Amino acid sequence: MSVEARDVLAARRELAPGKSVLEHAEAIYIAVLTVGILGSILLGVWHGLGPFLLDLIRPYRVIVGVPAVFLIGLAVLRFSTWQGFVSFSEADCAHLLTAPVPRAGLVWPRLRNAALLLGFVGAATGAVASLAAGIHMAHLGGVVQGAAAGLALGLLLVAAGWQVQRLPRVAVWVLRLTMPALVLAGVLVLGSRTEGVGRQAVLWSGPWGWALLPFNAGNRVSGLAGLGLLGTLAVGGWVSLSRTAGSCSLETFRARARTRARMVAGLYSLDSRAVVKARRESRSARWQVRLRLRVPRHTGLVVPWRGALNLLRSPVRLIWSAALGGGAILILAAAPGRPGSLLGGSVALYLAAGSLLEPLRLEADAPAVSRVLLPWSYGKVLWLHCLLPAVILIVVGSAALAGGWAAGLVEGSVVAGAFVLLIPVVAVMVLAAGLSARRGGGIPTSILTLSGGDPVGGGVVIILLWAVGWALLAIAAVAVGVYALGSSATASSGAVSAAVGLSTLALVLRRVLVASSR
Amino acid sequence: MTQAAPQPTTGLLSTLALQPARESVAVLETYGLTREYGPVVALAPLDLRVDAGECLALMGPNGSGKTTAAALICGLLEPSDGVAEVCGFSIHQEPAAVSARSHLAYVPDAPALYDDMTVSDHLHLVAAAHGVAGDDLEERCDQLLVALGLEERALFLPTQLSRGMRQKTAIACALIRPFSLLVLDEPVVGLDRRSVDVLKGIVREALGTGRAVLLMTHSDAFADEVATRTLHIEEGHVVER
Repeated sequence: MSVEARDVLAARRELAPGKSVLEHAEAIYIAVLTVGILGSILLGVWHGLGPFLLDLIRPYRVIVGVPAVFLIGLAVLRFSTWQGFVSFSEADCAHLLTAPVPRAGLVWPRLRNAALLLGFVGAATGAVASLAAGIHMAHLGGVVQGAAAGLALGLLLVAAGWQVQRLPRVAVWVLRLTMPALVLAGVLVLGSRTEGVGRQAVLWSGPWGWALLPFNAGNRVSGLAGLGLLGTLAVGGWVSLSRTAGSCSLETFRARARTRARMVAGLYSLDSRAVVKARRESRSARWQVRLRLRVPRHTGLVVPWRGALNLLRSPVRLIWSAALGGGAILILAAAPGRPGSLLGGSVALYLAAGSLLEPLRLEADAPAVSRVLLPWSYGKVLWLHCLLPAVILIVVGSAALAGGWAAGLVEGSVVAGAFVLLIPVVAVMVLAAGLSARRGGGIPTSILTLSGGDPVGGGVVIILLWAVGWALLAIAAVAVGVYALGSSATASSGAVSAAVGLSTLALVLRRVLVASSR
Repeated sequence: MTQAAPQPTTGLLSTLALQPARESVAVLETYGLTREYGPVVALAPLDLRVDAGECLALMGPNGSGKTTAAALICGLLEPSDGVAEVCGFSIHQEPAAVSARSHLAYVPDAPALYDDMTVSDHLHLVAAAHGVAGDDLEERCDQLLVALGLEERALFLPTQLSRGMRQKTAIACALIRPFSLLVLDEPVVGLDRRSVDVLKGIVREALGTGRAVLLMTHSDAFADEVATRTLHIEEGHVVER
């Protein structure tokens, strides 16, 4: 027996009424007050800096505009591969979507609201962008065109996102084409910088360019044409939304509900790792690089072998981390005396080490597994996980130093000292990142209690220190060590003394890591 | 209590280099092993001795303390009091615990597997970590995978497997390596009849080749067929010998 969706939703609202009119009014009052205060401040700032900012932005509006719209569209499509504009709770999936109710009736109100909301946001953004682009209020038509373009773009994004959400094959293609799309964004940037044909080609290359045509000063016809094309697509998108509202599978909604619930739970418990894992696991079923690597006979190499398998199956992370680490070491060696270089290089190197330590994080996620499967203590397993990232960073660091020296970026007087420092610097970074990663993402109750009991707001500092304490230690130590290399009268003597200090610190960090327990 | 007739039946363990228990010590011995959670006694002082060729079934209803006992014996939980020794090595004191773990293979009630490694990767990892990744490793892996019906799932991640398949993977991980003591915590939950039969054969073979088995279960049928001795446990206390 089929039941009207409208009746079911009405009954559901009656059982779970949500917020009262008074509560809504209170929220609106707070929102108006906040917008009023912020608006006044912004208006004051605008009066002072507006003309300057306009002059600054105007030459770049197309350069920034088309690739920016393109990237926003890509981000929306990516978001739709794992979440999307229509979501239900796990309870709704279990009880509401399995009831004999036409699914379109349950989905359409959410889809329509999302389209209207994004359309409104788009229209407001378009109108503000028109003003920022120098289309004066006197030219009301220009502002209306900008708003219309934003409205159409908003509707189109929801329509496209919905197709990605409801069609798993399309979602897979969105993921596969992300990298080529990023390359295309780069091409759009380059095309935007040219004049004449190149710039016109960018503006007419797709909806991302059509949306910017009304802002293209001096060509009203092309603006209207772009708006017409975009409007036609948006109308088509709206029609497709209404026709396909009922065609998304329960499996899709359930997977997204589970991911969302886990992410929200992670956020509420201040567990960043849980959020990342929930997001990652939402796509793991679709992506798996099948690769086998011969297992080593030496038992000490087993954990690095596991790490290598993990990293080779995530080649993007491996390449990105290696490039970041190599670049960081090059920056540190190229300008060892400059504070900006020391800070930037140290932070980048720490991030590279942290990224390569993903297998250690997986170990910390399930600490009981190594106890069941492996013969070593937990601390030793964590220590063994640090070996491969250290080797990778030493290899790419050596290549970066050699390449930088050959290219003249690293001074000859510094390069020998840089090689001496390379191993201790990498060791300190990897071990500190390992000590940080072993804790998982959740903030311990003891830290929360300690920070909550601080009446003067130092609680945030305590939490921050807990979160980045190991990173600060490693970055400070490496920065001082590398500075000694750059500031010493003879680079080699500075390098040796810095290497001794950093090696001692690395030994202490290793001892702390090996002593880790579950 | 049924006496099992230990005899090799599967051949799955025969190619492995067994590490024999030291002379004159039990394969497993616990003295006053206790676990308390505040005022709650999850496991009252437990004294056990399991010798080579013996299969002890620790039986009891849900929440009786079987899994707590298994986790304590395998070093996953720290005892509030007492000692657990595997082949004479304390499981809770490093570095002796390393030797204890080399003698101990554990199949927990919830399969402990890495999310980012395939079934085949797990077998290779465990074999290499226990120093038995020789030339015949591939052959042994295939043999185990076939025996447990996992050959079609060798390249699957744990998240892509059913509960029963994950359980079989955990069992395969325990069997790919040498051991003196096999601890099985609710091993037949989620297993099909064929796999239960294979597991029975494995237990019998383990007993027949001088190993010991500690079985935590509430399945009378399975315990009756493989156990040589049974203990009942309720509310953390041993109630019958």
